[in-house]
Amino acid sequence: MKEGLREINELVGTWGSLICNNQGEIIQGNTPPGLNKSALENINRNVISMFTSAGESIQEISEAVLHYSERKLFILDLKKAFLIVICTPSVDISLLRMTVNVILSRWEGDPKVQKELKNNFVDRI
Amino acid sequence: MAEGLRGNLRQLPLLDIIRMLSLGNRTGRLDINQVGKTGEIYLERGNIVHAVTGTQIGEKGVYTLMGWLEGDFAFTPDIAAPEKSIDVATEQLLLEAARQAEQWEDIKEVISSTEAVFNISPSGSTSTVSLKPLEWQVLAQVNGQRSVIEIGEILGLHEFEVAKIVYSLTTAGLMQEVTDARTIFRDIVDEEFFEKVSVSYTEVMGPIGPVIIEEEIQLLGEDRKAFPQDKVSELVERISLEIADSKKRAQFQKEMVSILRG
Repeated sequence: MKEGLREINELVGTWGSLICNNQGEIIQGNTPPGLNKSALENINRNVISMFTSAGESIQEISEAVLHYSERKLFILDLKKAFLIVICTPSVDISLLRMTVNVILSRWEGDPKVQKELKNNFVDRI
Repeated sequence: MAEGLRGNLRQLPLLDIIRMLSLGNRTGRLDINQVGKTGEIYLERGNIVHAVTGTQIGEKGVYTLMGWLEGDFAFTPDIAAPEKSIDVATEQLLLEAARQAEQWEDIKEVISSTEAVFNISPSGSTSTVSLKPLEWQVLAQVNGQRSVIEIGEILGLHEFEVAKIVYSLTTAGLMQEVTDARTIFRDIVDEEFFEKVSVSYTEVMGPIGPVIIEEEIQLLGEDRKAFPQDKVSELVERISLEIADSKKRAQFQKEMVSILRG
């Protein structure tokens, strides 16, 4: 999992990435030292509440890109957890999406990653 | 007419100023100043007798100045022209200027300004086009970096003449305006990349692969011969989404990400 996040972070315009459980707690992170854990988990909870509070109408949606003036947040609902990538506005979203897809595809067949996700699974808030 | 008449061309077009001065039988010099450019028109008892701006003198000078939409003007009365470069009756000159002004309105729908830069359209015309020698000369100067004015200077033509030709060549589909500097200098994807994509994609999709690639390029409003680097990942992602099998899709994306990330 750590290796996957490192690969994501190598993409130009990516600032940091993390996997959090369904309640926002970080399972694995690769983020800049300036971002402390509790601040990040606050962000995670806000992001997750967007997905959960939107109700059944957007249940099919598994991905979101939030645009801020200084940053972009790429969020992927993995069902067992969330992947959140913090990016600069100039990030190539298509390339990021494909990179993430390649990594997720690899994780699907990786028992170590699946075990880690299973062990950290919690119901949504 | 009040002495020291002055103002801005945005408030009062040059054609109207000259009409007023002409009707008032005025004598004097009308100075027009734009950023980095100046022009002078001399009147003698209401008739235009001399005009100069840069290298344009006489009628050409008048028509060039009439095309200025911005700038300050000032009329100083009782200044005699240093020379007489215009024999044409002022009424006729103003009629021609008005006709050109009308044409400018049409031209402006295609050419944003005489500072605009054009390049040769990658898609070209859909029908046979025959060019006059002057049109060919203008087309030969178009390189995605020279402005309409600069082409006029190179060919020794008035900017209105160049603009008219650029207008007709653009509406014929032979040229297109370069909208910003990023477009001028944006990187273009080389053919080798498309060959790699095509080979990998055909392995997954079969012979329909290259057709899908071409379709997606067109849907992005681009041309394979001048495909911009900053749209490559979007194109690759779009064609990858056509692969129904998620494992094959991920495999294709893996190859492409490896190429794109170098």
